[in-house]
Amino acid sequence: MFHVKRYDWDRKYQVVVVGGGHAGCEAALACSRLGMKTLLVTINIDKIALMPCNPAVGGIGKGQLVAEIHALGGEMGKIADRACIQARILNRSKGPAVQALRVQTDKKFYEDEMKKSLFSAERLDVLQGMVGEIVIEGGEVKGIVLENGISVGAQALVLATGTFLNASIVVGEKSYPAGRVGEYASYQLSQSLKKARIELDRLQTATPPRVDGRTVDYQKTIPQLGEEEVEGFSGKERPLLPQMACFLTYTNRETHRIIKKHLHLSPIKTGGVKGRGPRFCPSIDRKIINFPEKERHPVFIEPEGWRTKEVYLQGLTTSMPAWVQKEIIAATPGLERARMMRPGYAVMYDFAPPQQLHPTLEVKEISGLFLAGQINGTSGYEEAAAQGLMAGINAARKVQGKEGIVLKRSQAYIGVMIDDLVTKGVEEPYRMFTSRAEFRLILRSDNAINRLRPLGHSVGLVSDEEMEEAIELGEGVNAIIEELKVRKLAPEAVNQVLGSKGGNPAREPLRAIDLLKRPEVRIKDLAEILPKLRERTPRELFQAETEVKYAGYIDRQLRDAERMEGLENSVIPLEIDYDQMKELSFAAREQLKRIKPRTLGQAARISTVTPADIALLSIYLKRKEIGDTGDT
Amino acid sequence: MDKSLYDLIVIGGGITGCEAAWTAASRGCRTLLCNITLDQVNLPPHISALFIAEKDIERVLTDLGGGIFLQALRRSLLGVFSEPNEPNAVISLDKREFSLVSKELLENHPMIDLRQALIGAAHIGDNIESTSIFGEIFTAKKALFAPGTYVGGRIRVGKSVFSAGRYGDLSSDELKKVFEDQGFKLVEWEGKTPQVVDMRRVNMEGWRELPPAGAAIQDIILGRKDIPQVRMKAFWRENQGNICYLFPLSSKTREAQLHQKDGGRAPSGVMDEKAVVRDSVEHSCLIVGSAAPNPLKGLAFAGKFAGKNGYIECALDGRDKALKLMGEG
Repeated sequence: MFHVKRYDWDRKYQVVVVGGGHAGCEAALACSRLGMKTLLVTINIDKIALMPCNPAVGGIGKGQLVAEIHALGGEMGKIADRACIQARILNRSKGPAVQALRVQTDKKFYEDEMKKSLFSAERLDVLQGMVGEIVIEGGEVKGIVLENGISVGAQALVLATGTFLNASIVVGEKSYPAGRVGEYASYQLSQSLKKARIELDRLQTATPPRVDGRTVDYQKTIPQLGEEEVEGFSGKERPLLPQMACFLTYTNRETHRIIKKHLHLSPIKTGGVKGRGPRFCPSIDRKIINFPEKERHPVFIEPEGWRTKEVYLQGLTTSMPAWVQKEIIAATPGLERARMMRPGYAVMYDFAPPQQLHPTLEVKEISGLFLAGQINGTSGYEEAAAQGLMAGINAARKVQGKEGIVLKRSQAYIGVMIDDLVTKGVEEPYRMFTSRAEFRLILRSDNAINRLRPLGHSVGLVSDEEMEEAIELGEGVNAIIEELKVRKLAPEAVNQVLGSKGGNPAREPLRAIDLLKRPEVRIKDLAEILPKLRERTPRELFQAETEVKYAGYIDRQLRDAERMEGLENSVIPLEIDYDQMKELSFAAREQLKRIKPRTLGQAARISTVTPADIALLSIYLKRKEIGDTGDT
Repeated sequence: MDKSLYDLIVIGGGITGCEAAWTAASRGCRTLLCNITLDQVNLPPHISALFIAEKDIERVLTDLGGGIFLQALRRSLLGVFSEPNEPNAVISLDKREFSLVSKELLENHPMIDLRQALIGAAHIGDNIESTSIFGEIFTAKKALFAPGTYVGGRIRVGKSVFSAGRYGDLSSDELKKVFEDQGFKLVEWEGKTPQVVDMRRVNMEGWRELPPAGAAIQDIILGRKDIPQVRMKAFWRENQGNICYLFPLSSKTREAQLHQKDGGRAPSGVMDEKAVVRDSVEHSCLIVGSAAPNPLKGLAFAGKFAGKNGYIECALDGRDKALKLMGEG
């Protein structure tokens, strides 16, 4: 083992970030932008910001995360916009809360752009190396020791190691130790974490095969084109590459017959894959088991970028033996002659059950140690990046002696995610969905800037100029709503708008805002007769339209959020002794002791804690408050 | 199982393997090129520059003409310089771009199939059956092994020694066994890669810009005159009697490689520790020794694994061995 003389470091930084994936990149950039002397350590600099799975950023729930990352001053949204080769608004026909942007990206271009940001960030050094040990003394992080013996002192440490902890990859009955195909994993770090009494558990995830785009029969597929006019995540950056098409095909009975026939070889059946997999991103074998009645499953054929012929088969994730994968592909229309370039595979890895974390992502028992990304049991680039950003912000604030930033559930999807993680833990790799957010009508992508930019600005990640943008957006939206309120439209004008849309023709003058509330009327229809609206940006118009059309629902969620605020603002002191509170149920007491909720609101979300327990806690806190006052 | 029979399987997608695959494929062979990962193909493992004696330039480039090495080199050039006090040209390249261009060229070649596979076993009979670590079997009439440093490879960095084909990559001990079982004698080889530093942290005092090469040399190397001649600067300085170079690694990051003319790591004092982005690593792997039996029919070893050194020598070896293999049939 390593022997480090106390505080005799080869190098010293304020914050060290371990891991160069999506979480690590955001954490390192945030720290350096907040004035920290920062070191990013990665096993391989050539693989920084690699997208090892799908060539896309965003999607339902995830797109909202990216919008929030951008609003707070993170990087992912900008880079995804630049590397975009196709943008789509998902759920366009549904309500605004569940609409989400998803962009296909050119993977190599994405990596390059992220690397440019890292290598131009001030105060940020990048170092290739593998961490052998975390040095902890007296419950505080002191630094790390690399495998080459170099020791690096740090006041805060962010671990964003992805799937590399004690990992092995699996295909069929074959398995070998690796973090990703061809890359060795980190075993010493897992040991070091266990030594620091951090509990580790196992999860798994998998990726589909890639095939040679030259061998796909696109005639048999349905082209999926992107939208012409889409504002990206950032609303500012434009795609730097020409756009590309995706293609859709479906599995069929033959595909399913092959899968069923060889199901006994699937690692999920043989037990070759241990640890729980992502239920919401299931392998094709899992889909066949769970949905035997389905006659087909969609397969999206997605390009991985302009400079490669490799295409990604979204929907065919599997870790069946490679020869079975080949048969599955060949049975699927359009892919009969498709040549596999990379077989799909599963990876099993260690993660740290996130109930061990404060909502700041700091490990409860180890001051200065922050965990972000897959190590916390999540899945997805966006979930990782969002945690990386928050861990980075909070690591920097820790060093600066400032209080950590915790986003509320009513404030951001990021808040929902982290609250879910630290309060409930994970049973499977955690993926974001709109359904996880109880206030999703107020947590929309389009208002992420209004919601979070002021916070990003006060934290110090958002420039004055960018803040100005948010203020202008808010003012623009208000101006539109004002205009809609004051403009009374004559019946002729109303009927002109209604035109062929149907709906009851107007006989009386009507306020523009009331007309907009009709489901068949869109704001662009009103813009035709209200010139002032035409001066406004599409983003402002979209947001105003949503605010008007859903005003009732939005108001209700705002009121609900306010009501919850009471519980969320009832802070539970960290030194609270639950053992003293005999009235609490045993199960509730044990979980409260483990999770150490910060607020009554968080306590109420712990599964074993009942409303009766919350009532008891609430009384206890009030009594304590009065008691304290009595003492002085 | 994979029923398709290739004319040639090339194992290893480095400089040697890519040139071999390209050579065979361009002469009509159906070629399967396997590499441990498709995230990186043909990534130059060592320095991001080439030194060629001026008198040899024309011959070397003619020998490599039409090959993938030269095409990728021309499309990833960062500059063509003259070596101070020596009649040598120095070609500085963007390693990542070289790798990306190579992958593009390979994927677009009608006779090449590129495949991600770590080969762990080979059965040599009438045809050669190579088995990946995932249990896939690839059958070809002939095989060319160009596994570079991935056979029994180990890396030494500071105090630690661990198995690795390259830094961050797995090595293949299984392949080592395959060769030993076939009676080949393997000998250990050792080498070093230079440090990489963050240009922003380098104190440029004492460093001088490398002068661009003369117009005639530029024209030969560039092949076309409209390619910008110097996109990134390269630097040199004298250091304890030796010449030390600083070559840009890529136009996208601010990394540069510190190369000591006589090889190895630049002496301390030239660079602040905090400038170091990638440490120098010592590398050992097993290569086919001189006492190897006559190669089996239809089988060839090339490049580093056959004891060659240097990008150009490896590319030429890949080409020559591929031609020889085809001539046999």
